[in-house]
Amino acid sequence: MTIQKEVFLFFIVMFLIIVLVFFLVFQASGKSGGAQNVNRKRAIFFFIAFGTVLLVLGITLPKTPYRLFAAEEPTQKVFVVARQFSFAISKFPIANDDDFSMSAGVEITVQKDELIEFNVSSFDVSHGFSLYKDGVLKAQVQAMPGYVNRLRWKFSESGTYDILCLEYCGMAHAAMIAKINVE
Amino acid sequence: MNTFDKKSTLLWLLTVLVVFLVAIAFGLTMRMEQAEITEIGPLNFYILMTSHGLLMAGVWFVAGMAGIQFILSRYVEVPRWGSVFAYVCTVLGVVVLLISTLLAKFHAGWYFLYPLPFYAKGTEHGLLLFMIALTILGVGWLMWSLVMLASILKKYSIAQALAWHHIAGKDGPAVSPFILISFVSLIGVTACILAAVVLLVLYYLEFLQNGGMTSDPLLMKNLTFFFGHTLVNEMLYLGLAVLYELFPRMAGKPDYKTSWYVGISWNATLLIVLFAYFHHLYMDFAQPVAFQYIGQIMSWFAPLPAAVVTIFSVLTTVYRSNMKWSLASLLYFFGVMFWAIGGVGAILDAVIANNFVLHNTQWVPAHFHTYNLLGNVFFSLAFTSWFADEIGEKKIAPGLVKVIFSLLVVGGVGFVLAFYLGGALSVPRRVDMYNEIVSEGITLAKLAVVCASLYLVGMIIYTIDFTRRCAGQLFS
Amino acid sequence: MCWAIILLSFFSTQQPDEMGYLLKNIPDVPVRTAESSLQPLSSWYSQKPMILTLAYSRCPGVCSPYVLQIRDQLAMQSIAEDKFQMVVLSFDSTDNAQTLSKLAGYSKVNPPPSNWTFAVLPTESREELAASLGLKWKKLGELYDHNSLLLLVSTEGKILQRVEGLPSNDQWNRLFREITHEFVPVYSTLGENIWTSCFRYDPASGTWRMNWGLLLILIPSVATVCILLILQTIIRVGATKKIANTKPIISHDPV
Ligand code: HEM
Ligand SMILES: [Cu+2]
Ligand SMILES: [Cu+2]
Repeated sequence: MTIQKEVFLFFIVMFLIIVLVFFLVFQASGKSGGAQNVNRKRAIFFFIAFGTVLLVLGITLPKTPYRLFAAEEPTQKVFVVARQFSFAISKFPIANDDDFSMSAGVEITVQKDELIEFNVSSFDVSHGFSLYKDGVLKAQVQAMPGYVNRLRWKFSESGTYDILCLEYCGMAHAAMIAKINVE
Repeated sequence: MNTFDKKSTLLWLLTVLVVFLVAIAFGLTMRMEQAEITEIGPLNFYILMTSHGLLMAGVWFVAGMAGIQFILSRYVEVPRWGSVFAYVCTVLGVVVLLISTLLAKFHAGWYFLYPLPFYAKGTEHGLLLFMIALTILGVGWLMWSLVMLASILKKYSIAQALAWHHIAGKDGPAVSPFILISFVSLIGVTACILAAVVLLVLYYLEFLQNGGMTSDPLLMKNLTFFFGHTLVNEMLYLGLAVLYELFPRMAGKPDYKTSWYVGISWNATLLIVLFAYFHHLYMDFAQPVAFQYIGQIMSWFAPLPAAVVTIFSVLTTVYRSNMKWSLASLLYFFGVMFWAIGGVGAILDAVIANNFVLHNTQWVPAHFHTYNLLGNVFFSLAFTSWFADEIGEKKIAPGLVKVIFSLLVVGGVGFVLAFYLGGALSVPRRVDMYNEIVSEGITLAKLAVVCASLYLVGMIIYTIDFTRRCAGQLFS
Repeated sequence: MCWAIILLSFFSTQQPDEMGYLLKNIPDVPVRTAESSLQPLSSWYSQKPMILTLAYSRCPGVCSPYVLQIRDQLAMQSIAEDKFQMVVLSFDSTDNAQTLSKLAGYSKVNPPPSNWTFAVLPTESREELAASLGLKWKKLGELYDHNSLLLLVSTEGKILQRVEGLPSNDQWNRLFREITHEFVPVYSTLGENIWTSCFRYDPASGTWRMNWGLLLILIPSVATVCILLILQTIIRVGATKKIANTKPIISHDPV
């Protein structure tokens, strides 16, 4: 199951729990008696919530994409530059417009399971660089002008990956697509 | 209640309702385009998207203002010119905004991420008009916030308004939660409007220099989200402040008191909210990693004080109470529920590891529409309904309450669910059409069109009924 | 000299054929240094990244200006000497460390920096290294016809960068970035007319430093606090004035 679907399921469970709680309280609104031990219940509620937050932070904070495979040496560098409304993807550095037009529209091929370092930048506005496999978003990084964002990634499946722009970059944003082949 | 307060609030609320209907129509059209029902083309789509985003953010901020101002005038004297000035600026700003988008074709999105506005050829006039619109709105709202802050400060000192004496257990004037929360939110509003000022100044400079000067895109993005995120966050708190004032009375319970923990939680919120915006930059690896971690930590702690205290209070208020359910109390109670649900969606996305595959997918509009469409809007509509009950001569028909409430809830939930599913299926946000890679988006958009239409019908009925009951007061 | 410059500029505009070489391992061949002993090339790159260039001192053409240019570029950067190793390697067996040092403009009174090494490639390993680096050379009587190469080699012996002819500014920047850090998720290519930024990339240490642009993010919050304090003061002063105005009336009252 993809991360997205796990998050969705978790969300739906929380959704149902919250609805259930509110609904039960709503049902109880006609009865008499009033709530008992409010202060104690509030304290318990707070500490459970506080503990949950700490737990989740402890589990999830180490799992960030910033230092992904930082300890290993990449075996392939891939340079990506975005420009309204196309990507240039190349194993050479792309430093200027000539480099860009040489690589734009060219599909490169990389190896499955090899560590690739994507060096992602933009020549004009902010774009997004995202890797889709069979319609599932696997990884992404922003392509911001003036910065080269380095994303290290290992493709676990062979076949064609789709690259979509994920940051609104103007009228043809939806059509900004490229491909990369994995063998 | 003096007639000025009554009439001005009525005018604010009527304006909000009308603009809301227009903005929903824009949103519905976008969804229809994505569902391939209409074919207005990308330019028109993004023009509508830009208008929709800013109109919505603006109009519900303004609704929060109307509520705050009305309740605040029960505590302290609020100068009338502040309200009039803000109203004129808001209307003028919205008109210029619509000209900049609909006529001058500005379409860089509601938070106009730098340097996109400078790269849309042929829309230079649009950009200038857009900046002017933002300037007018900014000036109006900043003045309004300062006037409100000053009104509160006439009665309470800063330390008192922040309830520090309640926290320390010292003597002092009783500060109601309404005053505390409004004060905290107004401070936040002032800070984020000032961020917009810095941002706009940089935009103006670059515009005038015509390319001679450029700014650091990372700096601009930080400023943009300091402003955008914080504004949307604070506007929710404006609605909550009013809830704290009105809700217990609806349930026939004693007023909420500012206890030490209420004091602490809103003081904490004041600080935490200012750092939460970092979560908009998770996928900018240029931002130092320390900021990213602070972003996630603050995003997770942000809801804790405010939400825990509010949700718990609302639940215990309703539990075994003699609540006579009206449209206002229903909207408040279930608004809090959907606010909590949207909050869950938000903090899931605020986990950096999740954001890696959710950022800029439809998960983002999913969660913020939940706590806007079904949370913040419900809070403001609750105030509007309460207000109509206070001043209107005619009563709302009980059957109509059920119809309106069901339409809003069913339509709203279905509408946001389509977005959540889109997030789960990696459907990107802000695209006018779905290519074959993410073609599920089309089906989801169709579902959303049906549900949004239900919501729109509910809002139309609501607006007609509100006008029928209250509009006469405007001229009495 | 004039001719050399024309040749240089010709080289530098050529599209570098870098792809086939990037991240490939170079052979760890033995080379001869000043001490005239044979030492493996890895003794220089195994500790820190190595900048490698190939030249020979009798060259009537590009070699001298080429090496001098590299020297000047490196001197201009304030990168610490212990961050990288510079190796000038000759493929001419009549060369020795002295002649090469002279080629780079150094002498006894003006010795090269401590991280510079001059070495000669023995004829046996010439073919192997030339093939792996893409060095093209041909003997023309006593002289050589060859291309000028600048390479950056990682501590694993992998080619990180390969430039034919003189590097452009962009290529230099990339090289400096590569040698100053192992892995930074981002580096900056911000243009010249940026008037400030949040952070500044410092090539010397390979880290990001805060820049004063970051203060702009603080302005809104700081200004808000100031505004609050000012508002409170004004209101307080206004209130005491009112009391002062009403005082005489009160004092008259009892009388
Ligand atoms: C039934 C009512 C609504 C409908 C049909 C609707 C529809 C939409 C749609 C289709 C989008 C574009 C989604 C995408 O990125 O693909 C959108 C974006 C947005 N909506 Fe709504 N919306 C509604 C209510 C609201 C409300 C109540 C608010 C805020 C108070 C709001 C604020 C926004 C904002 C800020 C954006 C982002 C615009 C941008 O990306 O620049 N919307 N809405
Ligand atoms: Cu793009
Ligand atoms: Cu795009």
